[in-house]
Amino acid sequence: MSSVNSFFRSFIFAGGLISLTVNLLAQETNEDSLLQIVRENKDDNSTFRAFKKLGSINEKINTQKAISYYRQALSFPFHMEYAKEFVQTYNSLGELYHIAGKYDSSHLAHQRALGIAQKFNYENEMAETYQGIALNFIRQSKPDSARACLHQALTLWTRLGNPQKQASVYLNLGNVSLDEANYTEALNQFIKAERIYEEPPRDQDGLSKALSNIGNIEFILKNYDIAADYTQKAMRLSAESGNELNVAYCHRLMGRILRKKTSYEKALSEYREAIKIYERRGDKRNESETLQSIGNIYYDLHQFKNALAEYHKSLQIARTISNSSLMAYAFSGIGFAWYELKKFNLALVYFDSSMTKAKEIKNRYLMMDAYQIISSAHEEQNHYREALKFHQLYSELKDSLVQEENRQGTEEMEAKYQNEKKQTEIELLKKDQQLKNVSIQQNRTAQTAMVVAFILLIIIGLLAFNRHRLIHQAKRQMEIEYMRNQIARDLHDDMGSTLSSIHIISQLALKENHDEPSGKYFQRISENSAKMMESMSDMVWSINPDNDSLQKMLIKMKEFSAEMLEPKNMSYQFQGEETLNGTVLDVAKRKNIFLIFKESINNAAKYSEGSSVDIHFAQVANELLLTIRDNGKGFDYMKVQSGNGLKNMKARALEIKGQLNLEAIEGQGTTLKLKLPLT
Amino acid sequence: MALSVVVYEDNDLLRESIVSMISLNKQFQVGGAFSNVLKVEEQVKSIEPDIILMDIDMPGSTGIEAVSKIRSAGWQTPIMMLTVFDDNKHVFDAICAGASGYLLKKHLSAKLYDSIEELRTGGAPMSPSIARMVISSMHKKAAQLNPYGLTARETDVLTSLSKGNSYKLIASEFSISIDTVRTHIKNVYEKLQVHSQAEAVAKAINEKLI
Repeated sequence: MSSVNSFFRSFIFAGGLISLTVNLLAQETNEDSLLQIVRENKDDNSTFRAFKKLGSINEKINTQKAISYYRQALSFPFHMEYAKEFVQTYNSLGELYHIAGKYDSSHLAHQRALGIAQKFNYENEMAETYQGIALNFIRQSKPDSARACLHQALTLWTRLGNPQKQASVYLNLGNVSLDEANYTEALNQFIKAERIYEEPPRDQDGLSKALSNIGNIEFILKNYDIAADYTQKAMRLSAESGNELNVAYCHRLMGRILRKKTSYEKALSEYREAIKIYERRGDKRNESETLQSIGNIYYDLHQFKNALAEYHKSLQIARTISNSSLMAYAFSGIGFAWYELKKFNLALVYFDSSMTKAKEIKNRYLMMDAYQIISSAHEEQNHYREALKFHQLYSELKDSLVQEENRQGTEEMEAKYQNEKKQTEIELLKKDQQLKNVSIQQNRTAQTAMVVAFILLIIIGLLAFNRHRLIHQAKRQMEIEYMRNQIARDLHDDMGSTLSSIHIISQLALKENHDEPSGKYFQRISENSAKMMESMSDMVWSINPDNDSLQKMLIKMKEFSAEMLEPKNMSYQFQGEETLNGTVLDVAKRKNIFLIFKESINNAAKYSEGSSVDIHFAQVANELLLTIRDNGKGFDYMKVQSGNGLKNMKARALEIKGQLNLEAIEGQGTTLKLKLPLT
Repeated sequence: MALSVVVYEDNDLLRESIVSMISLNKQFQVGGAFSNVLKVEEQVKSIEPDIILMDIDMPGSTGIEAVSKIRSAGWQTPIMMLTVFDDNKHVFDAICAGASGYLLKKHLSAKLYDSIEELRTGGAPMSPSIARMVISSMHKKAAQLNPYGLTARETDVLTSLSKGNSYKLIASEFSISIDTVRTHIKNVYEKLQVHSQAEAVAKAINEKLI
């Protein structure tokens, strides 16, 4: 009964088709008003939108008209402002081509949609497109491609968080597996869809589709009771949600189940329920198909006349919609019935028609049935030559079909194996991709870390370089100071010895020639060499970086004071030392301050004729105030103004931006005041 | 009897000047005058001077090394260092090596005779710079509580001296006589030398020279 088998296949197909095409929404908008907009032709945007709406209104009513509207919409130049709508229009067009069986055109439309959707990253539209493309692949028996597209769609829907759409993908995936006769996998997918649809918000319509699909699988697996359970559940849900087409499908599925359980009467009533729905909805094709199913039951019950009646009704409807396939099956059924009724001539006529239609639609199973029965009919009528001829045709066709079936069987097995292999590969690829993503992430982190490290390195480098430069500068400064000090000392060491000897010799000469006129020259040599030694030693002292503090200078001052004043029996007091902090003096300051001090003490020792000297220090903020006061006879400022000593002191004070004040009143001692900034 | 003075000075002019100066004073006689210290031990041994005047920087071997050699050989002859600077680490090193005092070259003509006299009586003067070096050297040897074995008064005098106070001021500060200040300073000199000699002996034993 291979003819019966193929008959059911087409039903299952039809069921799948229904479940895929029912999600079209009714449009209330008046077609005329939209056409008015089109005629006004205001701008691309509004005209495009009008065409799009016209298309969607006509989708359910008139497929051809809808396709034409969509094509007109898509003839408008692409604009950013309706980019998304453009994609949607391509998708709608693709769906319509799919329903019309123009899979290549459908594929092209979907590809266009995908191109734009990817460019603008419309994930929603991308997912829809992938699903549309997948449906074409299913019809074109390209399960692997279909599955790949469906997985893409699934990923997108998952990311977008749309479980309803995910479930619809699972339904599609189930149908792919069903085509491959991988029933377990198909069942898995349908159950996944069922679970999602059951979760709140419960999608009754989706759930009923999932359940009826499960029922269909259980039916194929010959688990009739379970299949009946699922189908009944699906039917109830579809009835509740008002999806009549699915109710009808469930009735037919129940009919098939009951027929297998030989509950023919019940099966008939299920079919009749389906017929009612189809009649009401004017679904001629399904009505015709169902009528044939009823005819088959009567045939099984050997009520051939009843069967004939049903087949004729089916044929009549098939003729009105000029459906060759249905006509071929109807002819075949009528032929079988007449053959059983022993009306061989009539049987031959109908089988001849069936054969012609079967050839037209390339249905070899129907042809084989026809050959067999024609052969038998001729045999019954003792037309052996004819009988033999058709028997040979029958045998040939049967052999080739068996061979093909076998091959198909192995191919199916092979496909199944390849499929599993591919699935593993896909899994591996997915894992690989995940690993790649992780490693890309890691790379990115590493890159960022490297950039940050590099920048830090540069900053550290710059800081280090700057620090090095500063250290180097300081070092160099110190080296210079050290060198200067060293040069001064070496020079002084050498010259000091020589000057000493000059000093000694001049002294010796002075002693020997004291009363000679030359004696005063030796005196001057002696004095000048001594003076030179003194100033050289002062210079060396001031250059020495060890002597850079005020405290060190103070010690030097005390030493000098003792040296100068004590032999004269003059007392001296240093005051205000405690106000001095660790201020560092540069070479010029320490030299000039000390030399001013020295000159002042020298004057006090040599000319004041006083008995004591007060030396007072005060450091206020950044100013140093030095006061040197003796209790001597003082002097007339005007008289000594020309002296080098005072002029030198003034010049030295100026050199270090200080103010020098000299108060000298005859008979009242002398007071020198030096005020200078320390920084 | 005139005191025998030996002069070590590499500057010929200065050496001759010093010799002339000494010759002029009846209290002294020149035992010898040399431009280097390479044969210092033999010279001291043969001349047996009463006073040695020693320049610090000389080619070949320094005055400090010569002082060490003389003291190592057991001679206690007073040695006066001649220097241009009194803030020089060399002066302190020479004192530690056994020098009895020092004289700045700029003061030669004015103070030579007095200084020799002071040296003989043991009262060598000390400048604030040298006093400071002694104190900082004591701080550096902080591992020992009192490395040179100075008394509290000696340390006080030294500290006051390092601040630039004159002997006279120190005397009035501590209500002692100037001579007592001199004695303290003299003791400091001796303790520095004794210490450094003990160190030298210990060093020699360690290096198995004896």
